[in-house]
Amino acid sequence: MQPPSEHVHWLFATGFLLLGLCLLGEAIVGTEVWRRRAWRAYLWPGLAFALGVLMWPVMTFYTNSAIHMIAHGAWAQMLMIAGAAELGLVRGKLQSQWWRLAVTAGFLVSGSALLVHEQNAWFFQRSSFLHHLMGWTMVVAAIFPLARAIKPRSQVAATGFALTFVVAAVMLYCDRDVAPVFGHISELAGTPHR
Amino acid sequence: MKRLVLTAATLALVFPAQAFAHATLEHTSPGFRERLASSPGSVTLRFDQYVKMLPGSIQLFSAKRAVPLKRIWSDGLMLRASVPRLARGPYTVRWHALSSDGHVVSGVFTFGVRATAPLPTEAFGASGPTRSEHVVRWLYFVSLALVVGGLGFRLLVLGGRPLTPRAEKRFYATVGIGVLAAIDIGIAAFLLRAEDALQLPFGRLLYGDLAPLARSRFGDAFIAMTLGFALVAALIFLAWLTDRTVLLWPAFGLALAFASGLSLSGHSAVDAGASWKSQLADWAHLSAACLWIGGLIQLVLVVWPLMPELRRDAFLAFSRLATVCVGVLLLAGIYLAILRLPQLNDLWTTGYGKVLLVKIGLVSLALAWGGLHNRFAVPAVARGNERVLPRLRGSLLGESMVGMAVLLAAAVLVDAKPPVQPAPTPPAASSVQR
Amino acid sequence: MNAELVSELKAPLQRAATRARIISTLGPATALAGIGWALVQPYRITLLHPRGQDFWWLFVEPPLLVIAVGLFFHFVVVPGLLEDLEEEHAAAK
Repeated sequence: MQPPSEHVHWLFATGFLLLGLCLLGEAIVGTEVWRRRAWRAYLWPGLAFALGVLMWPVMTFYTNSAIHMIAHGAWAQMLMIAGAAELGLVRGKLQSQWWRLAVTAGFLVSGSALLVHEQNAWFFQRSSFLHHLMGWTMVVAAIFPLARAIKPRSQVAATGFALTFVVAAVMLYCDRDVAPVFGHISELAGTPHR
Repeated sequence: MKRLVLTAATLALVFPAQAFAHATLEHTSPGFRERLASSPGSVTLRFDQYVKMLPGSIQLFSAKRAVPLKRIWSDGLMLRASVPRLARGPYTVRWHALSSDGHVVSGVFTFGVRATAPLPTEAFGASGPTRSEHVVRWLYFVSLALVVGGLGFRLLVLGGRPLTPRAEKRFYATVGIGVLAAIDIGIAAFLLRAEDALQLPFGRLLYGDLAPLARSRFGDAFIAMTLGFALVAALIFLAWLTDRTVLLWPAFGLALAFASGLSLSGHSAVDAGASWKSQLADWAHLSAACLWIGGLIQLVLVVWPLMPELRRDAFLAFSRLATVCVGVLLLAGIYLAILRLPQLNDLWTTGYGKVLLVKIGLVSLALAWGGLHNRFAVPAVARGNERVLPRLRGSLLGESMVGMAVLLAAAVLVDAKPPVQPAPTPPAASSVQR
Repeated sequence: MNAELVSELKAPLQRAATRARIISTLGPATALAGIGWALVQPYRITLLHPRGQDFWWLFVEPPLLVIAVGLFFHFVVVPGLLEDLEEEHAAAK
């Protein structure tokens, strides 16, 4: 009764999309308005933390290869730590805004895990392309949480941060077993299915 | 910016990409650890993607040597080899294939012809445990002591007493580090065990198939413990975040329960003489050791430097808990030693016995240390002798260091193989039948 | 009333209205994206043409998930957010 791996990607994409929309909402109305209701203040960091916890079953039940395990373990911990740091800030248990760097570290580690996980060039084939794209997106987008830590009121940083999750969700939704990308499919990939 | 994102999103939606995975072995014939009634005609591996054959893509080994294969060929998602008639015994299949994403994927599995197939870690060519595995196992025990002992100390020794903010912070830092280390070191231990079985250089181990190991008793324990400790981590975090110490109770219960994964997959579960009693004894032994050593660490790191007003009460309450722990530790340890070493001379004639002797020596030292605390320090502290308390920190630190050394000996012992037990004498009737 | 004061009050009010409009469109826009996706790639909703797929293929339908997220955001998160925006501006006035 274990779901296929692509379905797990889509379920996580759904979580990331909701996370992205919440962050976008916060960026638009401002943190003061967003945090007027306690449940809303905890919503997105709690969601990030929960996604981290839920990543552990993915890591353990899909033990295809060591690299797969290491990468998923890194994502699980980074989501948990980043969510935990933000929850600590919202709750007032943590005071220093520098805790927001946990999210920056999370982006950098997650992006690096994606890039290290892929050893081939961009256009070797589809999965290579997506690994590189997601990896570099995470690495470059680490600038947004960094900017949020330095300038907490920056609208650009908040919007960029939110859009990163939306883009990550779109990429995860695109994940599909054996399908062409840019009209190309390797002869080794197998028969594409719909 | 928005237009760029929209364009990228649309492009990505129109051109869906492939799953984030290399070729995965979906099915084998014979199956993992399958016991066959007769020799198989071929060995077949089916993947979820097309794979390309490499030289020596499938290698077959008996218990002693390589078995030459007649023909190896690939057929879309399949990799096959026709095998000669195999005699009775255990066999190991080692395979390598070029995945569609260009990575070489590798793996190992075993089967038996009219014989029981060995575990992947005991397959032909497998080795270990190595020195790194001893260190990793030791670190695993230390992390269990930090989390189980830390939570036990907070709940059973300190009870509902409030801690100062600094002490609270340090308590959560130690148990938090413990639980994260338990998860990460557990992953490292699993990968090292996989390396033993697969016998691949690090670069290729990254793409090695771990499924046979994940489907073993050890793999089940790894999965359960990783998930269990992830939950424990979440509960500890929530207890810290919401200032609700009550959440530490389920965390403590889960940590104790999931520590049993080691007992349910180790010597006490698989070796000769294993039963539910040996597994229970092993778990009690481990839990008592974690509570004792983890509690000592909390006394040294949290109570002594940060809460001097609590020193007396905490020391006296911990002494009571430590007495119970030591009692359980000794009873369970003696039972397990008798079970694994039925002959007394096994203690000095076998490798396992020698390591056990070292461990017994270290445990005796720790017990003597604890006994001195109990005999002299506890009555003095109970009488209210204030001069004793400040001097105790160094002594408690020394006792916890000996405790760490005990854990190191335990790690080497767990990785060692107990001597083979003499087979029971066959009943007279069976020898008559032959 | 002073004309300068009126224009000073107008700017934040306009900003608030714009914010409320954007917030109100986020959910429907997401749901619309899901509908658009379902139209472009109808085969991604396995429920419409089941061919003996197992539970997960029938349970996890990506375009429907996108629509669900959009609706959840619009009906659960947005109403309170609009109220709070309004309250903030009332207080600012």
